[in-house]
Amino acid sequence: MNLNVRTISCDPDRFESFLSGELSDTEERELTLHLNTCEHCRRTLEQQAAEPGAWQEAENLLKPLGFDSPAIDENSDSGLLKYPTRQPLQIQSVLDALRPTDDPEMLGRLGGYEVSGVVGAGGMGVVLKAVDKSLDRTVAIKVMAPHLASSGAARKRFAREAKAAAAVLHPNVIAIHSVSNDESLPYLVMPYMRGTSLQKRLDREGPLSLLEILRIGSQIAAGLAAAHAQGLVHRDIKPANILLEDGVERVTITDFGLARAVDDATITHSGVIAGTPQYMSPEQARLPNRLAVKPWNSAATCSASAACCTPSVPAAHRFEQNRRTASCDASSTKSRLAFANSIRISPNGFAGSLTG
Amino acid sequence: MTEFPETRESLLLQIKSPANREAWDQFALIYQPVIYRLARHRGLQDADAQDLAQQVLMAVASAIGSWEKTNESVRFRHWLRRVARNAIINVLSRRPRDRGAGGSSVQELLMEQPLPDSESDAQIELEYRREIYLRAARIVRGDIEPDTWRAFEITVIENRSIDEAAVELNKLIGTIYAARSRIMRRLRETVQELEKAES
Ligand SMILES: [Zn+2]
Repeated sequence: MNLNVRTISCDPDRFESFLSGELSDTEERELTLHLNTCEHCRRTLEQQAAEPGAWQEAENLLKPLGFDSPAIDENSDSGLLKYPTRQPLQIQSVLDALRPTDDPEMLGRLGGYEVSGVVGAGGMGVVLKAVDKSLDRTVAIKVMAPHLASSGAARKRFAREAKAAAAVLHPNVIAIHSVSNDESLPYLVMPYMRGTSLQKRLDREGPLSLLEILRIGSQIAAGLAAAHAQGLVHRDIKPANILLEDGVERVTITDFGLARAVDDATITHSGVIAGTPQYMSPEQARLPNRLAVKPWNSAATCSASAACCTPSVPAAHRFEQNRRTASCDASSTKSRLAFANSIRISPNGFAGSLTG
Repeated sequence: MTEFPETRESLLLQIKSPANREAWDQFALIYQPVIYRLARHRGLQDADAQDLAQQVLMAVASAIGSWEKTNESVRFRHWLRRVARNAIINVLSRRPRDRGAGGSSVQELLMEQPLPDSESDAQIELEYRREIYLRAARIVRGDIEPDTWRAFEITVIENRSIDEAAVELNKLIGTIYAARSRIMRRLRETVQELEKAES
């Protein structure tokens, strides 16, 4: 503690006014500068703001649980209430950022799009359903989460996803209609597809038949091959990122948020785990030092696509998402087994395409 | 999962008093995520947990009509919480297979008087409390600058250092201390207000 500073302006009487927002801008600035150096006042202010138990409770209760944002599915039967049920903070903040619309049926406006609903929410942002007025077509808009939009790194990653996905033109890879990176919230516009994710399908209906594994797996492989031909590795292939369209037998790979160029070496030594642990390839997860990660390569991505189709990854493991090492262990034993099984039951050609 | 498309409206219409309708809306808003999380903690998948929350709320809603006729002496909110508690414990204590079927009458969840279950009670209480905090956080966050909230989020929720927050947000350390203290105060006040409204 700097005694000089303290004698000059330690003034705990100001704290209560500050906490209730009653100080003038100048007084606030003075207090802030004082707090910059005075350890004593920092502690006093924090105690006055709330008792230590409240600080602790805030940390414990507001910490993400890993499953706190149920995707909102407009076709689901959760419409018991006439009002929207509690929306995760992220969705609410995206909706709040929309511009007003004259259309009473719509939630708001984003660029030239009229937003009619929320399709889901993920780590990077929120997916909205909207109408492109000029072309009169329905689209899905992935909007970056506002708390990320202020981060340069996150914006770059978002732009990379857009660029990566837009570069691949293939029936099994999500198309990108357009991208906006200038507005306060970056977003990318994709076709709106009626359907369900492979994850939901597995959750609701259980294991796929061999025929379905072949049908879906071969389409995932074809889409990934097209991406690889553009020099891209998806790195986060998992059932939640595979869309099954209603009525047509088409499979679409989405979410290139973690995609990297094949020759991009930055990840190799960064010690950051890319991808979702349950669906990482065995060779990626099984490492001497579990936090060191080998780069994704096409074989790794393809074996993840096999794991996607083999729901033998036990449901229990999906709840271990925050326990990375446990998941990695599971991946290296049980899902490797599942993967091996899927190869044994598969015709050679298919197994070849997955492991190649 | 059985759907009840046409009963939905009529269930809500059963709540005659406007004050009770409002109490119900508030109750459902808070309990839906509470039940969802309880179910996820017990290992249910997203879709099943959502169905289960729906099922419990349905059960509670379906009993409201009879409460309004006979039971005006008990405060509606308290009654809702008690019925919900029983339904939650009943539904969570079923074996997973029985839960999956789901089609069984929602009334069953209300008929059975569950055994005292202090562990479940504590979990319900914790998730209820969490919901109050999450709602309070959303309210507080709604009327402050994003960076101010981030200062709190980084240093309190993510439990990272003040220095890290100052670097990430490009702010003075003193600003981080000031921001997080003020938010903590508002959060605590908002939690208290919400608690009062619900008691
Ligand atoms: Zn001081």
